[in-house]
Amino acid sequence: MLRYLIKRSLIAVITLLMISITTFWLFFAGSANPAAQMCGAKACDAAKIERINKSLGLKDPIHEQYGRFMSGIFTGREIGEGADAIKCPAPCLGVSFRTSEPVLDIIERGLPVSASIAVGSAVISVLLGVSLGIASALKRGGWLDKFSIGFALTGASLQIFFLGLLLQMVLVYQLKIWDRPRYVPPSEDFLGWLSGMSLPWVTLGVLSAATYARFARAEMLEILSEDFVRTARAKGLTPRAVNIKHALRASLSSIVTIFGLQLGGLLGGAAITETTFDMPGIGKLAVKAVGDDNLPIVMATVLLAAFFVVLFNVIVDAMYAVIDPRVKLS
Amino acid sequence: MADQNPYLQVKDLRVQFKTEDGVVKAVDGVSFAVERGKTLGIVGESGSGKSVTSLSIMGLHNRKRAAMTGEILVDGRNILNLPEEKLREVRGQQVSMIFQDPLSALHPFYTIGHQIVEAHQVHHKVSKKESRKRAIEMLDRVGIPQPAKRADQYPHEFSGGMRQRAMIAMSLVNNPNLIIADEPTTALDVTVQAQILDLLLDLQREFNSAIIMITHDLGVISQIADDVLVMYGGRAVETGTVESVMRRPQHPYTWGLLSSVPSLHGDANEDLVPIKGNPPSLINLPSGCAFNPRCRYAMLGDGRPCDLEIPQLLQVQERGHSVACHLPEQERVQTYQQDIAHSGVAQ
Amino acid sequence: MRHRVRALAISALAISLAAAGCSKTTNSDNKGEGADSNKKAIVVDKEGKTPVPAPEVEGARKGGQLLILQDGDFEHLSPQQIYVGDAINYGTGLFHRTLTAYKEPVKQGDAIEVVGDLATNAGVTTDGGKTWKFTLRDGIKFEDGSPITAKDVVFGLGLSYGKFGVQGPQYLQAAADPKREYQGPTVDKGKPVPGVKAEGDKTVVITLEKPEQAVPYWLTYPISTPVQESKFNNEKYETEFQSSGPYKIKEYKRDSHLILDRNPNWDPKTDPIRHQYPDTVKFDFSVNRQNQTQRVMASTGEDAAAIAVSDVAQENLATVAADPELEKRVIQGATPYANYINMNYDRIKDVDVRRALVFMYDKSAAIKNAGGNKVAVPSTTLMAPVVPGYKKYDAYPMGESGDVAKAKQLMTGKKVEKLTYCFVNTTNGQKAAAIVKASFERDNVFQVALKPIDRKDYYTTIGKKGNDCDLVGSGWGQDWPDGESTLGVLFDGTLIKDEGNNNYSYFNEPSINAELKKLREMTDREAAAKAYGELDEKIMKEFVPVIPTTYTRHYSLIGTKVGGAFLSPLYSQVNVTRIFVKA
Repeated sequence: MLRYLIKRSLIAVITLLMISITTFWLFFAGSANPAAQMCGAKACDAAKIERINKSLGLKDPIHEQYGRFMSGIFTGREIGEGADAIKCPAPCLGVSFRTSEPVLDIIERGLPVSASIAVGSAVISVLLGVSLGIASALKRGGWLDKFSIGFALTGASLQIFFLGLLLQMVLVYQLKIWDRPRYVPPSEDFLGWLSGMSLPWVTLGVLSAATYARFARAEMLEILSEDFVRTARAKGLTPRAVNIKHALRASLSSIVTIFGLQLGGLLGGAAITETTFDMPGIGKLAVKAVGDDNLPIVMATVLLAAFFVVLFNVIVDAMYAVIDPRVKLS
Repeated sequence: MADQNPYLQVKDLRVQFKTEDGVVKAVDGVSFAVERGKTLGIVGESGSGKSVTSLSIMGLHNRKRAAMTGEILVDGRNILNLPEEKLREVRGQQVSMIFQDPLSALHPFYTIGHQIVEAHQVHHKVSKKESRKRAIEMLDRVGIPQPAKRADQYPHEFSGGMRQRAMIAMSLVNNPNLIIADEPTTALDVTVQAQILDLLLDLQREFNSAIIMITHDLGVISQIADDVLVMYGGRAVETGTVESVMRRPQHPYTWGLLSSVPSLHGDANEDLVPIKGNPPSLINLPSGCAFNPRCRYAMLGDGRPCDLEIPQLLQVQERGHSVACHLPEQERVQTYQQDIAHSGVAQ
Repeated sequence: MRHRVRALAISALAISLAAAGCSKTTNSDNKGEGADSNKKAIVVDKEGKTPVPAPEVEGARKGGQLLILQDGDFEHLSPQQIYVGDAINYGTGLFHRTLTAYKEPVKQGDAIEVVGDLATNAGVTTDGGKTWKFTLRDGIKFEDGSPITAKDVVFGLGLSYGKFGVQGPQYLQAAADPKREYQGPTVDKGKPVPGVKAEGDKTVVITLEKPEQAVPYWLTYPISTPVQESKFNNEKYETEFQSSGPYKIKEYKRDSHLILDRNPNWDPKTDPIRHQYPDTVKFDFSVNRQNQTQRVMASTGEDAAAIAVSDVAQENLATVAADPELEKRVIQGATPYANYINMNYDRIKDVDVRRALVFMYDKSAAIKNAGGNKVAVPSTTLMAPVVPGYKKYDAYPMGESGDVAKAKQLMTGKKVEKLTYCFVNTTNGQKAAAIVKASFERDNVFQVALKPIDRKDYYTTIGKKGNDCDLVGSGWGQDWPDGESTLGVLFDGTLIKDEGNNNYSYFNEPSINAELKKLREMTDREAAAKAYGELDEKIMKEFVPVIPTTYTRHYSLIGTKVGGAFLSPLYSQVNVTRIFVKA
């Protein structure tokens, strides 16, 4: 187990390293010109561009900039020269090109928002989706199954940016029966947090529940046709024991996989969700940073998203070993 | 077979499934009986209705999907009329089942011990500890070494033969009166196959249970069964004692089955003759005798009966031996005699 | 000055061309927006006559919370970095005072006044503009109560030369230190700030190598906001600065909210512009355009005292415009932004061909694309309506979708090669390009080849002299209210360099260059303003270097309880100096 974790961590670090190099390279190879961006929509004179580039450290060769960025993560660094230098302790992700604020501080502000959305909606989607999927698999062909299939189809074809905006428009602004989406730290105002997060949670939760429902239903139907379920029934077990102890237990590993990967990938999807609900999380931050050619923030958000994907992959693998005795981590 | 009180009696069983393509007549009027201590072999290709029949006896068909008529009398009770809760008492307790592939038939996430304990606890109000003792006893009985240790292992940690032994231990944990073994040895290699069959016979002698052995392998039947039922297209085509059916088969389908099996005593170079064509569709059975399109001896045209009338299962001269075939009995006997003169299929 | 939306979207041109409305637009008189040519174009208060304290606003009351809904935090609130319109408007209106300031007209079309803010007047020069003297008012204080001295103003100006001003405007610094050697007081410790010095506690003197008439305007940027050297913290400067205005920071959570409360050390008797009516001002930075519109439309709870920073969302424009109750709460009018299609003067040499192109362009399509006539109206002039001296004229009268017959007539007997239209390769840029192509190719009068340019290279490419674009779209907003900041930048041929040009038509006419030089050097800016208006018309009538396409309009909502709000013609925002919350 320990060996496995060490090996996976190493692979994860290499993955992240490759992603960081690619992002860095793409940024400069692609259409990014932060200094010109900061000049606004006017042709900047060369002197001003140069001064901005110098202040951002963009005049050095790319590999040097990359080296500085990476070493900053591990050892921290000073940004700027002489008396103007800003201390940026490890793990230093640089400072925002736009506001000169340490990127880590910016990320720290956005992460609780994104995490709140991700975890809350994940809980709703799993509870709702899995139970609906299983119930419909057990009552195959019944009204619940028909409803569930319709729900899964509708959910899969609806997009968060459509449904989200629609619900906001109708529930929040027209009927005024739902609190408008906003983030307040749960430590400050727990009820306000619940209330402000509720619409994103429900929307995203219900939409992803559709995926879970479809998946859980298919998985459960497959498991129900497995020989060992027949065996369980042949033993004379009650339907409840057959469905839960035997069938559900067996479909758990695939459901956990999907759950883990989805949770890991939620940060990647946060861009759309957070833009839709106007939540100041990592996703919205990333969207703005890309538009602004704000490299340090782009790097940080990409790495963070990749980190979570990698992390949840490891977690899912570990969960596998817990759930399925046939799997050994090595 | 004409016993007054057979443990299991199946009378004119019909099982039909409604599908989008039409009605599947999986079992179409089959009758048979098994006594305690005796073994009935049911033979047929896949799709002949043998597995459906066995699942009907276990009451494992979804009643909403499968239309079942006739009678299945287990110890005198017709289980087709039993409510689900009563059925559960029968399952695993009075009638239990051994499946073909123990790897897929055992739950991969639970230990062998756990699964046997579970089977015991369903029907016995005893402590877990006692059930476990019983499970280990059974594992020991079926010949698994170090049973206490093995009980805590998962199915994937067992070899194929050991898994099937464990499966048998699980089926027998409640001393069932009837054991249905559905191709229990198909997934195993030949030496292990023999051991498992020996074990089954052994246990049968010990518990005096009735066994239904479902297989497509006539070799297995000849080793273990007392009576045989040959099924084709959901119908019984020939039935009788092993002795009479194997030595003096009268149905062309049975001949086909016999000539497609390598003989243990025959010439290694002897040709195996597979039956031409494919098993029939159960939605659209051939008219008349279901076997007629594949039958070398079919009497067709000019009002001859093979594709017109379904042949009745009729007793032949030999006692307890019935055949459903339009060919006159004498002709059947002669034809078979000539056939074995050429190939020596049956020893 | 940068426009927030433009700054974010980089493709000003894209927006500018996309920024425009409805074929039904018939009000080419711009609803009387912009300067009224019968009144003074601009007032420069050299004598310090502007009354202090600023006269009370009728009906105003003290108290309440003003809520400002904004999509995203300000890029900078540290004064010397501020260059985007919203930050200038709210920053200088609420907490950053400056040496000089604009007193914007409450009634649209009235003159903008340049007045002394921390200084007693708009600046005094005795040598034609090389030396400027500013005397500080008595009683001005920082929020901690310490008096604001000339030294603090000089330190603040010094910061604008270095890293802490690199993203801000650079006019004064470039004029005072053309080689840009000085790196600001944090690096070049103890060295004098080029061209800026304190004489005693009360006087700031600006000395330049050449006369510059725009100095009083340049100092309205918060580069001249005073900073106490002893309290300067380079790592926290963005969020922890001393206020000199009526409000100070109570709580600032980046990207989330900023709450201001009253600054007890601000004395209205020292301030000719600002008031201090609301108890608190709260910025909510996480409200996008759609939600701003929805919330202020509903105007319930705290949203009743809310200002939407963004224009009304496109999908709600029609609803708002059709509802008289809502439209009462709309702050709308002309902005400094005008849009053009530049015709390369070296490549399209025949003036009648350029005139024909003017007739061919379909302004109605551009306006429709922008979202209708609430947010864009057809333009005929070079200077936007809010530029002092703006003269309303139409050198080429035609219907809103052009006059193909007139163009054909002008083109009789002429043959023109296929024209290349360069555009930034974004969604908006592509839409604008489609309109250009469709307009000019009507009746096969012209043939247009479209040349997309990557957004990274766009301004570099079109700003390069000798580029191969015949036509290129652009938008412009003045940096200070003076014709010089439009005509003087865009149409002075003597400024053309090899790279980094803003004169995208490469217009270079000696007579116009000479006229621009003369106007630039006039000390009387009020008189100069009128002359710029005449020059605008002359350029368009005789030379036609660009096709004026649209003026961008402002169209935003305020809540039912917001009083004293009016449109800032300079920053295209709600002016908050007179704002109050109704009971």
